[in-house]
Amino acid sequence: MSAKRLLFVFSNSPFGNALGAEGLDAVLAASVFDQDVTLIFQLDGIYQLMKDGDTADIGIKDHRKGFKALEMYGVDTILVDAMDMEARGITESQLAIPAQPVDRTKITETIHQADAIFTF
Amino acid sequence: MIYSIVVYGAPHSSQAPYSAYQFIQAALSRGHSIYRIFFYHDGATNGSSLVVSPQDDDLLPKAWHELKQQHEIDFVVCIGAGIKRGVINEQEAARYERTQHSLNDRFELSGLGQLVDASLKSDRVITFGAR
Amino acid sequence: MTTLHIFNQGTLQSALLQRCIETMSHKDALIFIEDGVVWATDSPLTSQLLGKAPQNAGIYVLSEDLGARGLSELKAESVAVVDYNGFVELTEQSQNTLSWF
Repeated sequence: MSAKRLLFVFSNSPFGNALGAEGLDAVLAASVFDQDVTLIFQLDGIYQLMKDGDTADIGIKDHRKGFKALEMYGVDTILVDAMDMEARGITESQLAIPAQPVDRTKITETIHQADAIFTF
Repeated sequence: MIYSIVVYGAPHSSQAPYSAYQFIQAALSRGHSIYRIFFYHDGATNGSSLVVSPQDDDLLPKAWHELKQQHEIDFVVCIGAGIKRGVINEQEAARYERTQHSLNDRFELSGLGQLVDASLKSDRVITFGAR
Repeated sequence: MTTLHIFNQGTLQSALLQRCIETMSHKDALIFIEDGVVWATDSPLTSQLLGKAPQNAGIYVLSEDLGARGLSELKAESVAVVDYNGFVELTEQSQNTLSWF
């Protein structure tokens, strides 16, 4: 069986709901199956990737560290919506991981090529 | 075709599990098979045997029960999402030193590998989302 | 059909629908379910955004959810009604599905 293309789309901010943390867990699970795993960060999902921040004062575990481990797990296709970054005043140097800024055409193309898509 | 269904919403809180159930019935009647229903996020609560539904609003627990009786479908509650929401089986109760357990017999508690496996073994994966 | 977009949020999530529509290609389809069915009504609040969907992209609404909310008579002409059977059929015809919520 050839590798399936699994796409994970992150659109939510961290901490307000559990989707970011649960999405990360799902990606980590997928990474051990030796499939073709791609992540897209768009809309408020961009905020999942902020380099700064400390959750000690809000009493919630900071799952975001886990995104830094993705490279180690062999997940290297991480796309961010370039226009969403710009709209939020965020530059690449403020991101915790080297994600690839892409335009909407690339995002549409990536969605079309996926075998299964998970939203978080 | 082979379908798997992902449910993010809790009964009585989100429409997601109700929609998932209706979709599954329609898919089965069109001759498809359902490989697995994966309950993630707040959807984990669907696997609790402690949910009490008012008499005139108990469609869903009954519906899952009948679906499981009539068809060979895996009902998997994500273990990570489940234990954080009080949906645990006897084994997890022992592990975490809890005196009670709550998982409905018809559901199993398992890891996210089951979600990935479902996507590899199904032609379609349909998510019924909730935040 | 390539991707079937499944949208279940109401007008509070207009930014999300806007993105969904911007992401769609003319080969995609969109189905409104649950609270998302309000987008399938003919109203000043909802019709503008829907008009931006790619030409030839199929726009559908789930009849059960529309009817439950008493909105069947308000349905916009440009949106096609399908029941759960039709919803499943759309997933058969598409290569994958993307849920927006």
